Amino acid sequence: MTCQAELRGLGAINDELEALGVRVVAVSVDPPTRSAEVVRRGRLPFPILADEEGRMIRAMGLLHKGGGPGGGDIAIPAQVLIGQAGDVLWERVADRIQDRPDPQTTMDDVAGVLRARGE
Amino acid sequence: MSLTEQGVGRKQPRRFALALLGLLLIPASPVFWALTLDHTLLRQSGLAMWIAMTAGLALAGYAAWGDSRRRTRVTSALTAGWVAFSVPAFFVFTRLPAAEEARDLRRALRMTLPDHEGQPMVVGDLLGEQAVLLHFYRGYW
Repeated sequence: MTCQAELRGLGAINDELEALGVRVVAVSVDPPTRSAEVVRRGRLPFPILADEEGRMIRAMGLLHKGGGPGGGDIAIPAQVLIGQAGDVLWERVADRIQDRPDPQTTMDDVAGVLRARGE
Repeated sequence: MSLTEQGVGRKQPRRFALALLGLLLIPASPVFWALTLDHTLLRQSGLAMWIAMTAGLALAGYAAWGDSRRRTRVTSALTAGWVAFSVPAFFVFTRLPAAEEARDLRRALRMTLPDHEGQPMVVGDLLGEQAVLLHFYRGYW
């Protein structure tokens, strides 16, 4: 669905991000087997972490309680850029389901933040 | 008198099929939206869905306006009611909760989670030489 399209979009800018020294890591509550299928179908060049209990998502403050199809907890769509020192350099959190980052906007934002910091 | 009524009855257009088409366009409208999800502006605005809903409503109005038979009018009324429910529902159900203020970034970065191949991974270990863009998404279902 939507998620597939946005992951593919991220895959398309992956090389550009790597050139800037940025590794992409996706995170969802899906089990590894399902994520493996997503990676295969979208030919994604980055890993997907399986946060099935939402531990990392909760630690990041990004848990959407009961947002899943069966009333399970899932992640609020968000992108967080972590700098080399382990600090948050930039982030964008969706406030509507259909509000998904456009890959080019993400690329421009990340490049802009890194340029401003000289990283 | 009765002749006039019969005359009007005969001339009345039969638009039940159009009313039915209008009704079907309402549940179908999210499908039109789903077809445009790859396009950022269309996805965010839901434009294809609004167009389909407007078309459904227009058909309902056109059918009920010319065809006063009960089934046509009821079908058109259903369409109008469905739209009246769908529009606010769209804005309510697509709203996401705000992120929580409390964040334990250190803990999140030290956490070990399996990747899609089942290999354990610690995001913090990737840092140092490079930055990491974490992409959280709702999941594939």
